Amino acid sequence: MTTDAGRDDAPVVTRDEDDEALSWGPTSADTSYLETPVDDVPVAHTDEDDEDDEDELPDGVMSSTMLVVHGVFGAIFLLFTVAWLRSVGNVQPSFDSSLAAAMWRIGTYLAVAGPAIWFVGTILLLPTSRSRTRVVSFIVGVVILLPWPFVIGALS
Amino acid sequence: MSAGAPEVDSADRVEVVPRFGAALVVWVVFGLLFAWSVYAAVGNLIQVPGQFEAYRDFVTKGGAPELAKDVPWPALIAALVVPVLGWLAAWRVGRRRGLLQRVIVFVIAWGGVSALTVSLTAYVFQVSSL
Repeated sequence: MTTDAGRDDAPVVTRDEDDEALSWGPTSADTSYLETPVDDVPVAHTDEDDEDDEDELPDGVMSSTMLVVHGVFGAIFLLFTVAWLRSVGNVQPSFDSSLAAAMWRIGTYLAVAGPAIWFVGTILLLPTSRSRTRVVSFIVGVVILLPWPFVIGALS
Repeated sequence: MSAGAPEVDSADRVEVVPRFGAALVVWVVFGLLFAWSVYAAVGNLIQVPGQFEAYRDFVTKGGAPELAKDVPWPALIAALVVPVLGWLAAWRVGRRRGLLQRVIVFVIAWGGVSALTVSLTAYVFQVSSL
């Protein structure tokens, strides 16, 4: 019975090389070690960056603030629709042709559907990344689509 | 701007600009619809002042000229201008957009013009109490 002396091509580890394997740093002889500047270390998030949080949202995702804004304007436009529905029949001009009467009727249907068309159309045409333009569009819509027949009826 | 070529707008969205012929059809169709509002407003601009004058003569002869109403010129003129401004606004907003989006813009504008027209008509009725 013979003793296994190991492979002949196995590296012979000397005492010095064993110490080298346990050390890592500028004093190491290992050429794979690189001393790099510390500029790339990520900096902790500061409060100043919080203003840009909305811009960092992925496409199609709204901030909670914008969700609330959409809800408020959606409710306003819904109220406008109800107000138009209740008051548009009070305006009954006389017409000298059936075409004029038909066009007026189409116009009243559009006035009732106007708030919904404006709200949905704004969302369809403007991506979530252009939230400020959406808000401007909503405000313009509130001014234009204000149901004056309902307001006049309520005041008189 | 070449017809049918994709174009990148300020929001980095790629829109396929429709051919000029298709865009022209949209402009003309909605132009005719908006023109009807202008036509009706012109008719009101001609007829409504006459009704106010007739009412003024009636109450004056009846000994109560203080019941006469002033012609609501601002509302009558606004009803004439609103469809024109609505069409121009839709044309301006619809530029650099696809055909479907242009149609949506014009439908939105048509709804807005219709609402304003009904509102102005209601105002004239309320002022005149006719």
